[in-house]
Amino acid sequence: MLSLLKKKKKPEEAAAAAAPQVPSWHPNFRNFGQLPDIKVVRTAFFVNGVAVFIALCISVFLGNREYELHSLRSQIAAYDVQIARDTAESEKAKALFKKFQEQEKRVYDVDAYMKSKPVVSEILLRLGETRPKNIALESIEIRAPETTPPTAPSIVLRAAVRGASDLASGEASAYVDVLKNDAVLGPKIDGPPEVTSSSRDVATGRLKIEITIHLKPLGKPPAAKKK
Amino acid sequence: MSISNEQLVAFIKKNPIGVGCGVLSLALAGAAYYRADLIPAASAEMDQKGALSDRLAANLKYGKDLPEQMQQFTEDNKAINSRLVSAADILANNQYFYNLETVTSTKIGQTQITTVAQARAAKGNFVPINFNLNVTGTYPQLLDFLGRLENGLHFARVLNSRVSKAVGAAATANPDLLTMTLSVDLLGQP
Repeated sequence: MLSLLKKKKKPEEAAAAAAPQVPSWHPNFRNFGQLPDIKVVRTAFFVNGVAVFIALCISVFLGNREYELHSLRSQIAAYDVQIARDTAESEKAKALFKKFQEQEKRVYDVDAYMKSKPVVSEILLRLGETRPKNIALESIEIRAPETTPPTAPSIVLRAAVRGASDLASGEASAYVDVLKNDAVLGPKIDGPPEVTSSSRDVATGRLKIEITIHLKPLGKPPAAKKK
Repeated sequence: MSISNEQLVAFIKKNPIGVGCGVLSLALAGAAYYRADLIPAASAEMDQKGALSDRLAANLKYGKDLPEQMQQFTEDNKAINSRLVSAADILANNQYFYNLETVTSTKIGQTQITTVAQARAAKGNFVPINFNLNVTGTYPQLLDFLGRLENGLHFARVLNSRVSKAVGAAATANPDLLTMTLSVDLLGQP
């Protein structure tokens, strides 16, 4: 009875039903661009997030630069105000300083001039004070000529030593040591004094000596240039 | 593949945030690019003006005491000027040495070596006026003469000096007499 109630299949359906059960294939005509995004978190969210993040980064970067530029311009404006305020006074100070330098140079020139040569009175006085009893100074020559390049000053002493020649030589050597170690002359002397000549005076029998003392170079002379 | 205006509008309407941010980013990047040179330029200008401002401030700071110091140097220079000799004032120069001669009881002979023309030809603030002196006296008198010369009214420096026993009739009468020959510069003005 039930078999009678069954709808009889058409011949095509029967053929399809009889066909092997394999996955059906069909062309995919879906337009994904128009279909809604059904992911849990939509792609647009990430895209928008990245776009907003980039825009914010650039905004912050640009804002920071603009702020920096604004600060620089403010600082420049402040400097402009300072410059405008100080320029006149500074120019006055510069003009005064130029005059000051001229005045100062004159004073230093005089100072250099006075220190450019040895003080002869001081040397002569000290030579007189340190002279041993048996030595007679016949001449004292102090040379500090103006030369180019400058030369160090020197002292040439010519003396006669009293007494026997063997003792006189010792006295002369002792005198050289006295000169070298003298508290006043010693610091001015450049190198040990040299006995540049020594001979016996036939007439008197005295030993005649010549002592050369090189003095340390002194300060520069004043800047008086000749045409 | 071209996009129609409708498609573009539709795309914008569909992604307003992304498109807006993209456009904004592009605009900001463009602005950053076009204004990129402003900061280095402003920085350089600031450095330059800062240096100038600092220099001006330093000028004012160090110039604060300048008038007083200037006054001091001006007075010093007045004193210096009053102690200078002039090559042209031959009589006054002679008088100076004769005064020393009188005060120290020595006998001097002198010659002014630097001529007026040489002194005028010199450049600079000062010119040394050279004299040759021949001084006769005892050792203490010569020391007195030298001391007064080197520490006297005029700025003097001795270039060469030679002290030896005097010769002649006076020396025979007084064996203590010495002769001192000097080459002396007195500081003068051109």
